[in-house]
Amino acid sequence: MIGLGFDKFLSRFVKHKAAVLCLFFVLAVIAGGIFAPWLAPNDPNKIELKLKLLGPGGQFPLGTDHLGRCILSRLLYGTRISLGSAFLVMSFSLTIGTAVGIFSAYRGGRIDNLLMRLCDIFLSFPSLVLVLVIIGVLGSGMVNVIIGMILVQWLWYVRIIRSLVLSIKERTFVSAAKVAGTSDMKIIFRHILPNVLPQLIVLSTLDLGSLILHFSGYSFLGFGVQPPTPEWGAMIEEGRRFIRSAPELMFYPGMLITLIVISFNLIGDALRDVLDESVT
Amino acid sequence: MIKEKVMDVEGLCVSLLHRQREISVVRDVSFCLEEGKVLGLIGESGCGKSITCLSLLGLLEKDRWKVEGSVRLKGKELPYLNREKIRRLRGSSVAMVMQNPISSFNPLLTVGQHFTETIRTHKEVTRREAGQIAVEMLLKLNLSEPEKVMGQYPFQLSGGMLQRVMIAIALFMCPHVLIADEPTTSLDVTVQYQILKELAELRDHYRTAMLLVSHDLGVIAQMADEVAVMYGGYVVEQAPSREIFCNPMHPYTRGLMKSRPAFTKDRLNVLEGYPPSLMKRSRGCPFYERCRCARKDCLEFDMKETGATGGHSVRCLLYAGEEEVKMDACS
Repeated sequence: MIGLGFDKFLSRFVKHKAAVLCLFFVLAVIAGGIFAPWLAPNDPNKIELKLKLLGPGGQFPLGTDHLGRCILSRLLYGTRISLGSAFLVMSFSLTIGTAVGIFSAYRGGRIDNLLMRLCDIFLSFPSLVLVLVIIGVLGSGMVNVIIGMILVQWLWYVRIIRSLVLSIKERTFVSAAKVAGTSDMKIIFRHILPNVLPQLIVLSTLDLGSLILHFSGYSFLGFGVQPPTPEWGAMIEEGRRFIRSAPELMFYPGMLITLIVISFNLIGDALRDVLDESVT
Repeated sequence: MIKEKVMDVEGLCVSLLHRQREISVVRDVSFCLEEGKVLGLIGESGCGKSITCLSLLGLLEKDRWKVEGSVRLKGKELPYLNREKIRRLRGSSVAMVMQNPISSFNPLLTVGQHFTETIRTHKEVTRREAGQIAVEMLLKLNLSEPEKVMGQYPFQLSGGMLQRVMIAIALFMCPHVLIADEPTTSLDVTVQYQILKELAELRDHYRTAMLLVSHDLGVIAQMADEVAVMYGGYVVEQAPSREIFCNPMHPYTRGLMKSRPAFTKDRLNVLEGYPPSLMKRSRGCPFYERCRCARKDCLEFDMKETGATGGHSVRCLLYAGEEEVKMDACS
């Protein structure tokens, strides 16, 4: 993608057939979320107890849940929150992580040491525990879960980006730029950042899947999205009580999460292969 | 012609700070660079050549290296403490050509982007003007089709071409001093010859003072007006080029001269052993262990200049005081 023409990138990516399939799936899901108001056959929050736990067909393509709400509509609207929050967490934590990581690696010395020890301390806790602590302080709710996830996630990126930058910082062309009097800012933005970008793209794609899983997990635990807002994790939680009589309540959102996470992983793997090829 | 001192280095000492220890890497190095002249710096790997170059540019990180001594450029002390000021001097007043041209270019940027980036760092010009300057410079270095070269990525060019580009980038601001750290080591011999020829022409054209670092005696013999031989962080011998090749005084220099391949059937003379490790450097002469004419008092020797006649200075006890030593005795 970088240092490798777009055509070439595309032709190499297409060779990974599973990844292409996954990409289409992800795009379809994203499109479903964006166009939910037009695509959804019913109001996702309209409760009609008379129509509860209907099978698929007719007015409700995937049936209804225990409150008579359209499952398909809820899934479509849920995409907005599940994927949207994951993208939000990713973009914020990646930006913060990249900035701090580059700064830390580039400056080196005491500041670098201090930052890394700080990271060590936070990373020694499982991220679930840390996020739960933050939610405990801020209170539950979607926004607070997102804030908590950003606060924890960027620490991981600092680590990775720092190590990437450290290896590029020692490359001869960086010293050549320094010798020519290039300013630090220019070296960072023109020489270092473009060289770590391919790895960052791979990293963020691979991590998107796990972020979706995590966010749904918090909703499942009841911290994130509050009912009646549709969200995949929350839908699984609501369906949990009907696991014997109506397992499809859990099946649809669960399947969607599984497929999305697998898709992001496969796409990430393919991207890594393609971009690695360009390096060697 | 009046020779003008461009850069004056006095008592340069560089030490590496490692676990509360100071390991001295460059010790008491003094030399001066004159306008339009080339000072050759030779020595084995690890004797402190490259560190000397980097310290001249102020590129050694302060928390790992301790640099002492004075470096004056055109009579003015270089502002090593001010990061911003020294950065502006790099590339404009003091330029450097690096050792390995192929890895000295960012693979993601075109040659033109490298060039304009450096030009725009030092001159306030538009992108187009910078491009014009770049093309002119490339033409001066005998690169054909400079416009095409500007749009190419480093991997599309050969090592020799890249080295020319690097020299062009180094010289566009007409720096007072050009430091060339083994500019031809990674190139093949014909290209090496061309590059050296071009460097010599540019030196005459711009009257740049050059510090040419190399471990290739042939390169030094061809280019240098004056030669400094480094060993174990010291400049052990310094003399005009002809003088040092005809009449080497220090045992190390002599060993170096002898170990040059020649068209004879004799076995090549080699300097036995290795340079002393950085960690083990102690008092006395660093060459003691390998020297054929070492004496006991060499270990107590404080490495002061012992003989300096007619611009030929040497640091060896053999030439200390009135004591006359026969040259043949230890050769």
